[in-house]
Amino acid sequence: MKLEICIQELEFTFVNEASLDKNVENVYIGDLLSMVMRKANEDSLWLTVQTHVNAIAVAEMLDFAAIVFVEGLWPDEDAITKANDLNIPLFVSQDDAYILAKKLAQKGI
Amino acid sequence: MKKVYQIEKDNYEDAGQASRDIKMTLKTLGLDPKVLKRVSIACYEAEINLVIHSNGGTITFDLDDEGTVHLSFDDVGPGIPDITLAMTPGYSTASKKAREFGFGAGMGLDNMKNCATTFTIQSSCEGTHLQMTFV
Repeated sequence: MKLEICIQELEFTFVNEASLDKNVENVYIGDLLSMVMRKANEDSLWLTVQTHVNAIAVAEMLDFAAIVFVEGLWPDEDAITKANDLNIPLFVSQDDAYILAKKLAQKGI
Repeated sequence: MKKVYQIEKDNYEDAGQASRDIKMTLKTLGLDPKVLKRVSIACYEAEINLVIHSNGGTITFDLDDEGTVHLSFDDVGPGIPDITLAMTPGYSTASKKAREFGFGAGMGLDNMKNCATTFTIQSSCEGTHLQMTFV
C-alpha cells in the first residue's frame, strides 16, 4: 500500500518535509532499538516513542517507510533535520500504539 | 576498497554516520539487499557500542575482490571484563543516558553475531577488537 493512502483518515500530523511516495508493507511497534533492528522488516511503518535523532538513524538503516510517534510525542529538532536530509517521513499521532495498530489492521496492513 | 572512520565516545548525535556511509557505498556497488541488511544492522550495533561503551576508536571497512565485506572495530579501552556475559542476550552495562536513547537492550553483540558470517572478538583493558565478515 502506498504511504499516502495508508495515512488517510488517521489524523496524523505530518512533521517534516519528505516524500510520501513510498510503499508500506508492514507495521512494527517497539522502542528498544536493538529489538527493532532484530525484528523489523523493510518498508515498515514504525510506531514508537523514541523521538531522538538515533531513531532516525535506525529507520534509515532498516529502510522504513516512515516513523509514527505515538501518544502525541513530538520528535526532537535534530531528529526532524536529519529526517529531512534522509527523506524519511515523520508523523505524530495522538493515538497510543495499540489503538493505532487496530486502525492500521482495519486498513488491511 | 578500504575506508576508515573515527568514532568518538558519547557522540550520540553523529552515531550511525559511518554505518550509513558504508551502507550507501555497498548499495551503490549493488550488494545483495539481504546481505546489505545484515551488514547495516551489525555495523550500526557495533558503531553504537563504540559510542556508548568505549573511549573512542575506529571502524575499518573493506570489500575484497570476491565480494566479501570485512568490518573491524578497534577501540582504546576500557575493554569488556567478561565477554561471555556480554554476549548473553539481555545483559547490559549501558548507562542511564544510553538507555534513555533506546539503547542498552543487551542484544547488540548477539544481533551482530546473528548477522555476520564470521564473528571474532578479543578484549583487554587496552581495548576491544571485533572483526566480522559478510558473504
